[in-house]
Amino acid sequence: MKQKWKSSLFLLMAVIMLLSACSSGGNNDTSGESKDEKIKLVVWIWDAAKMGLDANMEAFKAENPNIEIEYQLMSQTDLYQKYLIAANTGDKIPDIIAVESSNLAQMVNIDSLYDLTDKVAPYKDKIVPFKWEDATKDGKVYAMPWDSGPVVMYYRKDIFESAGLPSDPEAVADRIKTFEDYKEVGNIIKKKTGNFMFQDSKTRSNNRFFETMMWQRGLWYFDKEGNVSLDDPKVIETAEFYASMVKDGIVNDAEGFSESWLNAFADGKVATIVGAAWYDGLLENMIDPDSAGKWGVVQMPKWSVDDQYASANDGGSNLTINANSKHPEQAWKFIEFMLGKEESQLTMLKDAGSLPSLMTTYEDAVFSEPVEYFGGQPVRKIYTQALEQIAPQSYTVDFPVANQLMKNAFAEVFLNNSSVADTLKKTADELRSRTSRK
Amino acid sequence: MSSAPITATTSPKKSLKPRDLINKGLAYLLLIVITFASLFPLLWMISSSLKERRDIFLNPPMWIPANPQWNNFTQLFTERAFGTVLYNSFFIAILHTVLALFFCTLAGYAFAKYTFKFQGILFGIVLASMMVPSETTIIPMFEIYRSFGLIDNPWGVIVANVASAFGIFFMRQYSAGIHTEMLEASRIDGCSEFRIFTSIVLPNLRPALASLGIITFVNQWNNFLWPLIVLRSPSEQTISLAIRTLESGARTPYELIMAGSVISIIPLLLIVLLFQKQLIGGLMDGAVKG
Amino acid sequence: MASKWWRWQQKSAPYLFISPFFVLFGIFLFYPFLYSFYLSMVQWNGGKTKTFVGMDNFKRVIQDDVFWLTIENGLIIMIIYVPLMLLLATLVAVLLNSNWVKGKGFFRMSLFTPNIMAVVAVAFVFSIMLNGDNGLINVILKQLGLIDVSILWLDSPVWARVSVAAMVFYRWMGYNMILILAGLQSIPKDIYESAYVDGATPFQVLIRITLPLLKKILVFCVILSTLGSFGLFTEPFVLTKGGPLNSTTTPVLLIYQESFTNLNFGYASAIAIMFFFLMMIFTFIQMRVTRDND
Repeated sequence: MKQKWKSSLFLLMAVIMLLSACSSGGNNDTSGESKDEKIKLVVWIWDAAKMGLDANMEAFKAENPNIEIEYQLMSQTDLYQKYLIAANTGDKIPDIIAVESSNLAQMVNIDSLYDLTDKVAPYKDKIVPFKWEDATKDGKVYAMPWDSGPVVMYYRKDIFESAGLPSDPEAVADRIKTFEDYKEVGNIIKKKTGNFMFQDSKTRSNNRFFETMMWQRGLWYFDKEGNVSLDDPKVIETAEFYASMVKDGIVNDAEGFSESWLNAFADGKVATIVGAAWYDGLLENMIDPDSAGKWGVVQMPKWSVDDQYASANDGGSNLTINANSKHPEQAWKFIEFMLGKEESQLTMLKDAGSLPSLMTTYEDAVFSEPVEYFGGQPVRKIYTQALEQIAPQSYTVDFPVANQLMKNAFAEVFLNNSSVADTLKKTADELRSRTSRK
Repeated sequence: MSSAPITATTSPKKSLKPRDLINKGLAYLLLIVITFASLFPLLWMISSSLKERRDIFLNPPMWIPANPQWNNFTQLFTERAFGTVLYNSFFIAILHTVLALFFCTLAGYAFAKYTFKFQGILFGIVLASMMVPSETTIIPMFEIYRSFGLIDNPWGVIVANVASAFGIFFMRQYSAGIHTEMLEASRIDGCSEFRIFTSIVLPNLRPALASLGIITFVNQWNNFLWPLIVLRSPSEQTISLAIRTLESGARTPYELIMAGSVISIIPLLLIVLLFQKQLIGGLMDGAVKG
Repeated sequence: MASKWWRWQQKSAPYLFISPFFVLFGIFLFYPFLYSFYLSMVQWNGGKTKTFVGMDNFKRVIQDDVFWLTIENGLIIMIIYVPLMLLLATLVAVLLNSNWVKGKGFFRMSLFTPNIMAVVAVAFVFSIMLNGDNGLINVILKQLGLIDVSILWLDSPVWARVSVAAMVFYRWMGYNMILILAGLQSIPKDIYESAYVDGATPFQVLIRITLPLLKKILVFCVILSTLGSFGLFTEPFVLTKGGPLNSTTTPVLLIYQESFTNLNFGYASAIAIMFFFLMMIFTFIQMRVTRDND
């Protein structure tokens, strides 16, 4: 029967494959057990971040011919999951792990990262102070900061103009000093042009806007002692203000980076982005490539003019070393080359748009260059100014949980029309029980 | 084909023409509507794979790509080693499917057609194992696999769940329909149990084998949760993993993900095409007449 | 004739046949299974220390509104899509099993396609179609005059569940159809012939003959779909991330979140154990209710 032929063929194929597997399969014993000069480092990183490192690879290889780098790519969420497993099984792979600042404290807390305190000592005061907060546990440092995301305000000059508002950066900075000004301008723009001031999802927000508002004020989900501060009157006040902007109708209901979010920009319906410096590359390449020359940049609004700090951080990453790595010294060499050298960081800025946390780079001419997309405005100066003004605080270990609960809190406020104060008090208690804090 | 396919509605000789036509018309309409709905996302996927990133999100949608970006595809092969990745996926999926079919049919048939001690409890254990979510067992499983040298090794994926509870359950249900008289007849003739399995049971389970085979292959091909944990080196990646690694937050290249998904689905469509013929064809014509 | 060896192999055959599953289970699953029981009684955040807390995690699960919400979500989603899907799948399978339908192969392939597409790709397309004002679905509904205001498919708890159910329906209809079709193929022709000889109408044939013979398969599909509804992970994860307000969070999604977002492994394990027991009970009831006397 034909059937028998097919099945025997299959079995034959299977046997052949089995045999080939037995010969070539088995573990790739990475991180080199051999004692010869070449050693291999495995780096766990996501695609977009790798682009930055790629730009420096030639220079690195030239200086370190004995170190071979193998990049293993995965999305950020997968990376944290895999790392948790590796950490808990004492795995020697990977050697180097890229970690976003938002999750850094959580990863440090697992106690499987290599102690970098001595190694980073010479860089301590060369790097923006707030970056060290999440990297530190019990006085020891476990990560080397990479890039930062100082929050600024991008705005559409043409929309401002058609609403009768000033549009050149200096004038705009003067007009919008506080969030009250921001809201006021938002209402003007809505009345005169029907456009929105910014975009955020009511029920599925990532809370970046709200978190920026808090951070700039020096507030957060937790206070300096580690207690939950969601029901702190100042935090409630900030949340109520945010909700009032949504209720005024100046916020377009769209989830960040979703299709409708992107199209709202393309259709010229949104006037500003209060977002991190990394938006500039995105604006030019993905969000609004056709609007070159229409966007300008100024410092983000403050809660109050007398606030000590003027900006917040959103995003940014770090590089860490696995405590079980067989080659921590070489791993540090790699990290130091990439993140400690001004040249490397500047290359990454130019090629991948990542803003260095290494303050010594800021003297470079590239920061005063006019940027064509922004109509010739030297926007990078604004980023570095903002960087130096970021309130020194950290995401903290429980940031992911807090962020999740906050999202639900706002969803409840907007869906069920509950009062902000009551919802926040309830959420604060839930956060307390979940994180065993006070 | 001389033997007509088994029908559930072998029409009686006399048919009332108008009503019959309407019914048939409605049936076709239903099939066409459902087919269109089923294929629509695939067509959209193909269309998106040929666009530039920004065009994917356009509203109103750009149905036919303005200038097809074939380089979305070539890029995947030249820069992302999709050739290797396809090979890995095939290797893993084929081996897993062959082994799974064997183990599951054997066990399913055993549970269906034999009576033995502790049968109930043992089947209960099989069922129970289907209900344990993997998230909490991942860490110890990783350690066990590592001690067997199965990490970063395609066999770590092939072996995982190869005698699946689902497959056994599946085969048990389909094996139940086999006529016991046939099996008894063979036993009287002196056949060994295994011989009975290979010469009588397997051929009778052809549609079920084809179905389970397709389902298993597709599952393995698209599976990424366990491969994500087991496979690490770029050279070991499967295609579903490779597509996943393209994701990186705000800068995700959706056009590449769409192109990758198109590449990924082609072998699956071919496999389904190949094996769906097995689903036709009467096998149990006059089943009792062994 | 009946040699010793022959008798031995006859007796031990069933045990030998099921042994691969149990060997593999013993090696790879049993210990992790026990481990998750152990984990459910500790407090652990992925770090170096695990603190024993006894039944505290379980107490918390029982009192956790979100946990019970996930059970409720599973039920709601199941009620929305399972009966409808199985009905349609059976109907289509019957049609594709008949000899007067042309192009069966094409239809079969097309209907199975949703199941072989990667979930990410399907979710992507669905999220674009279900978009607020500009999504295809809302546009069509408005054109047809069925609605005035856009339905918030992904932003309101009620509709989000429908959206997730719709996506699951879409992915699994063809799959169930294939299973039922395979079952139909195994029904011998003579049974139908004799029925028609006796004067039965196609409808009577369907109800009195086909469905009862399909029973085992249908039960299988129902149990699978039930487990599937509660064990849904990828679809809600990619489409709605469990939102809004946890309305589309399934128990498995909750376990994932508690494990890998909140790093609450002990608690997650407790949820998993509870879920496991609930599913066992559910399946047991289902099998009891539909038990046939073989």
